[in-house]
Formats: sequence, C-alpha cells, structure tokens
Amino acid sequence: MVILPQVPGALPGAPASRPTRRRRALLGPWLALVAFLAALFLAVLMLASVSAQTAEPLVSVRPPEGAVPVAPPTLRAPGVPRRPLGFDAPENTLGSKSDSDIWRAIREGAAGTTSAPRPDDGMLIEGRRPPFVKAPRPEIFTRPPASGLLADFTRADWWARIRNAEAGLPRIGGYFLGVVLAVIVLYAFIRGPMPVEGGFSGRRIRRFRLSQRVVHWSIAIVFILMALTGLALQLGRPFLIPLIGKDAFSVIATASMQAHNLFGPVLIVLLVLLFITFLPGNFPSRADIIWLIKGGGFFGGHAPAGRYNLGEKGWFWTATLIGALLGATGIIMLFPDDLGTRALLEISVFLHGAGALIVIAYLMGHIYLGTYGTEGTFEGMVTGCVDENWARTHHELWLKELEEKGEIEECRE
Amino acid sequence: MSLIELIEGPFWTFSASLFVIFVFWRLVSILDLRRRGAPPKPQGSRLAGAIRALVVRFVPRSPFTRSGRVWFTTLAGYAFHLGLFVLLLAAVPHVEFIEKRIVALPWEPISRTGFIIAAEISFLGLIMLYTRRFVDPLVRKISRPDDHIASLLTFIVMLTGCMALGRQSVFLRGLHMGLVELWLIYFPFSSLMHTFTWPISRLVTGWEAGRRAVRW
Ligand code: HEM
Repeated sequence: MVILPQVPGALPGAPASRPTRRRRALLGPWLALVAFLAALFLAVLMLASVSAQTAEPLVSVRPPEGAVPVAPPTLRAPGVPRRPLGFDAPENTLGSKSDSDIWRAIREGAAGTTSAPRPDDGMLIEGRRPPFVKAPRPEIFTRPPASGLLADFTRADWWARIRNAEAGLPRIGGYFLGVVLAVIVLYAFIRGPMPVEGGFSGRRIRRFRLSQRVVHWSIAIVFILMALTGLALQLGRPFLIPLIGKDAFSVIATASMQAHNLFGPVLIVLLVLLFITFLPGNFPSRADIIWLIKGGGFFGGHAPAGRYNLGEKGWFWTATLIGALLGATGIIMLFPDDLGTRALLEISVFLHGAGALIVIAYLMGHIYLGTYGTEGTFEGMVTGCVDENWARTHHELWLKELEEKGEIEECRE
Repeated sequence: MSLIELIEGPFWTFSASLFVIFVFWRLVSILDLRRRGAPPKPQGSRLAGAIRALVVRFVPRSPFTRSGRVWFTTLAGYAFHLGLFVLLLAAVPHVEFIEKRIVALPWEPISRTGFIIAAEISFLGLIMLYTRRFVDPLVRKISRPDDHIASLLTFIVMLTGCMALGRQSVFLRGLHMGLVELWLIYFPFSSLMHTFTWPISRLVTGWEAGRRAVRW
C-alpha cells in the first residue's frame, strides 16, 4: 500500500499534495543551478591545487640563483609618467629583486621619492594613529605591546596589527562567521523549519512584484559572489593557505580580486535598485516592539507583524546602509591614487572588512530563514505569491490591512 | 603536451573549426528553407517591408511602449549585448589574441577602464535578464533547457574571463579559454545562433508582411 504524504491542515478531499508538489517543482531549477555552481567551484578548487603542483609558476617571486642584488626600485620616480592604461605586466617587472626583499625594505622604512607635496608622502609605510584617535599621547609609543583588538586599535601601528593574519581581523572574522553559522545550524536542528499555522490553504495572494523579484535575485547572485570572493581575500591567509597551500591560494586570490573589483560597481547599482524597490514597508513601527517582545515567534508562539517584521527591517537597513559603506570604501580602494590619502585608505580597508563581516553574518541568517527556516517563504520571492495562511502566520497585520483596504490580489495559475 | 598547450593549440583549432563549419551549415540550411511552388501575387512592396522590419524592430512596437516590462527587457538586452560586443572585440587581451590567431583588427583596443565598465554593464544586463527567466511565471514556462545552458555557459565564460584579468595565472587563462571553446562548440546547435539569424528572421517576416501589405 502506498501512503501519500498529507499536508497538515489540508481540507479533507482537497488535493493534499499540491502545494508540496509546487514547491518541489519550484526548487528544481534552483537546485540544478546551485549544484552547477558548487560543482564548478569544486572543480576550480581541485584544478587549482593540481595545476599549482604541476605547472611552473608563471611569475617567480624569487630571484634566480646567483642573481646580483640591486637597490630596491623607487616605485614611481619624479618625472616618470604613471604606468599607461592597459594591463599590468607582472612578468619580470621586478627584475632580479624578489618581492619579499622589496617588501621587507619597505616595512623597515625605506623611503622613496615623490613629487607629491605632502610631507609624509615619501614614506611608504609608517606607524599612524587612526584618524579619530585625537592627540598623540606620547606613552602610546613607549607602552609595552598591549593585547586585544581594542587596545591594538589605539596603537601607532594599529592598521598592520588589525590586518595581521594570525591575530587580527582575518582570524577573528573567520571565527565570528563560524560562530554565527554554528548558531544557525544549532537552531535549525533544535527547532526545525517554522510551519505555517493551520497548513497551506491553497489560496495564494500577491506579495512581491516582478521588479522586486528580479532585483532581489539579481542582488542575491552578485552579493554572494562578492561575499565569496571577498572572504577568500580577507580570510584566505589564516584559513585557506594552511588548507590548500600558497600556490593554489595565489590562483584563488588573483581570481577573487579581479572578480571582486569588477562586480563591486554592479553591486552598487543593484543596491540602489534594492533600496528603491523595497523601501515601502521597511520603516519602523510600534508593532515591531511587540514582535520583539514575543521573540519574533522564533521560540514558539505567534508574533504579529506588518508587511515586514523587525528582523527583516533590520536586514533591509543593514544591507543598504552597510552596503553603502562598503560601496564608498570600495570605490576609494579601487582608485587609491586619485581618491585616497593614506589615512583614508587605512580606515577604508578596516571598515570594508569589518562591515562586510556584519552583512555576511546577517545574510546567513536571511538565507536560512528564506529557504529552510520558514515554510513557504521562498516560494513568495520566486512566484511573487504566498499562501494566505503563511501571511496570517508571519505578517498578520499586513494581511489585515490588505483585507480592510480591499487590496488583496489573488494569484491564479 | 600539457593541458594548457592542448587547450591553446589543437583544441582551439578543433572548436573554432566546428564553430565555423556548423554555423555555415545551419545558415545555409535556413536560407534553403524557401517556400516551394509559385508565390501568390504580391499586394505590396516586399523589399520595403523587409527593410522596415529590420529597422523598426530595434525598438519596442507602439502598443508596448507603455509597458515597463518591455522596456526592461529592451534596455537590459541592449546593455548585455552591447557590453558583450565591446569587451569581446575591443578588450586588450581579446584584440591581442584575435590578432595572433585570426586576423589583425582594424581598430585600437579600448582602455582597461573602458572595457571593465563595458563588462559591468553587460553583466548587469545578463544577470537581471537571467533572474527574470526564473521569477516571471510565463517566461519560466516557455524556457527550454537550451535557454538555461546558453545563458549559464555565456555567464561562466564571462566570469572566468574577468577572473583571469590579472594575467597572473596560466590556470585561469586556460580555464577561460577552455570554456570559450566549449561555448564555440555549443553555439551552432543552440539558441546562441540568434547572433547570426536575427537579421534573417526579421527580413523574412518583413518580406512576407510586405507581400501581404500588412503593417505591424
Ligand atoms: C541566496 C540568497 C538569498 C535568499 C535565499 C533570499 C531569500 C529571501 C526571501 C524568501 C525573501 C522573502 C521574505 C518575505 O517574504 O518576507 C527575501 C526578502 C528580502 N531579501 Fe532576500 N534572499 C537572499 C539574498 C538576499 C540579499 C543578498 C539581499 C540584499 C543584499 C536580500 C535582500 C532582501 C530584502 C531587502 C528582502 C525584503 C524583506 C526585507 O526588507 O528584509 N536578500 N529574501
């Protein structure tokens, strides 16, 4: 005997498995897309490590045997024109001098010459306070090395310390995202997906317009691409290099950097579109407080909300405001010669990295709730329509408002 | 022979030849689909109809000019295709490659900034058009596997190309090149053929409309 799955709460005699079937059909192409991208990513990883083992590196960073050491080249001597537009030519641009020698010299305070007028411009890297830490208290420079990120932040070399792969933002950021992921997985295991109260009714109402859906999924694709490439760059040194080695990582790093730089402006355009299409309904309201007091329904019980709940509003504002910050700091870093002073670049690098960690953490929660975490939500963003009972469960006040105004738009096949 | 030598040597020749041969074969077979038998007497100018269709179809037709959706597909479509042409035919690495392997192009490559902006515009168009294929119930229903394969393959070719922009890794160059070759092989047998068939279809439809003296 075959036992057909029953949708809880479905009326007797109603085609019980319809919503389930529809949802499965919805997921089909997405699963294919995700599987395709995952397979591609894996293949790239595998091939990268194989090719790194077998192929000769194209650009050797070490000087050949018996090379005669020469003085470190000045980066751009006065009178020498800026490199013409076109492509960087990394092959042998450094002559027989190895990268590490040059960087060591720079770190140890090698000074170049420059035609730029600012007094400290000849110094390539030097200790500096963050611009918002006011008077240089002399003991800061003599105090024994403090420990902890906050203490590091007021030190003269705060920037180098924060970017330190072992103890700085890259490692702390990795742990932070790991903890967020663990909390989500734990929650998923303990509570499972949030069901629709009363089950699917079969009556579907309009929630998102076509333009909202197109913008949402476009930004989802680009955002995830930016997050993966950005994380590879930020967390690569402490987490990827020990796993796959430096040669394979160098391939991932250059690929990530190029893609990240190219897709950045695309994301900015999409963020503007997201802001415009999703702003209505995302302003704070009194209902948000009640929703918060009831724990958002995450731990049982019913939490009424308007068109978007407080968690979603938080996501909208986090994505757009931190998105704007990431965009602005990203543009500064894209054009360091034209837009950046050193202080501005340092603070940009820091804010960009830290801000990205916050949005990515929030995004992980958003993806969880948008897929496995709440029944019937994903469908809404794909087809634009949600089940009436879904709306009553999660956005009761929105449904009531639509009913009162007579604005419910029913979706038919 | 290493993998990269294979990809940049024999496999390139193989895929480029397949591309040329089958595109030619398909175009010939389409042009050979002429109507048999004596055509009915023309009611209007066929040539005028054909030329009109060729030109007028570059913009949405009048009943649709108030539709946001039509403008979206039109603008996103232009963004994607024009951006793609620019980066395909005027980016430094492409111009260099075409010059080395096929023919010296009569124009100068554009600046790196220019071509990156072209790529960004193109990506934006492609991604928005492709997501729309999923979220518009009607377009979703009329999409065939070929539509998905063609779009995804084109996207991956573009993505790996932009990842190889640093010109620092043979592996990334090979990956891009290998995917370009798969794309070339897939091209003649797929909807990608519209690259060459769009003027034919416009001219034929316009010719027929002209013959019947229909304006549309
Ligand atoms: C794979 C990634 C993603 C998935 C699966 C996903 C899923 C969803 C779903 C199902 C909804 C509908 C929620 C509802 O009906 O209330 C939604 C809403 C929304 N999503 Fe996403 N999303 C993803 C990525 C993103 C990204 C990257 C952004 C922005 C940068 C974003 C911004 C929004 C916004 C603004 C809303 C409207 C609700 C609100 O204001 O928070 N999503 N998402």
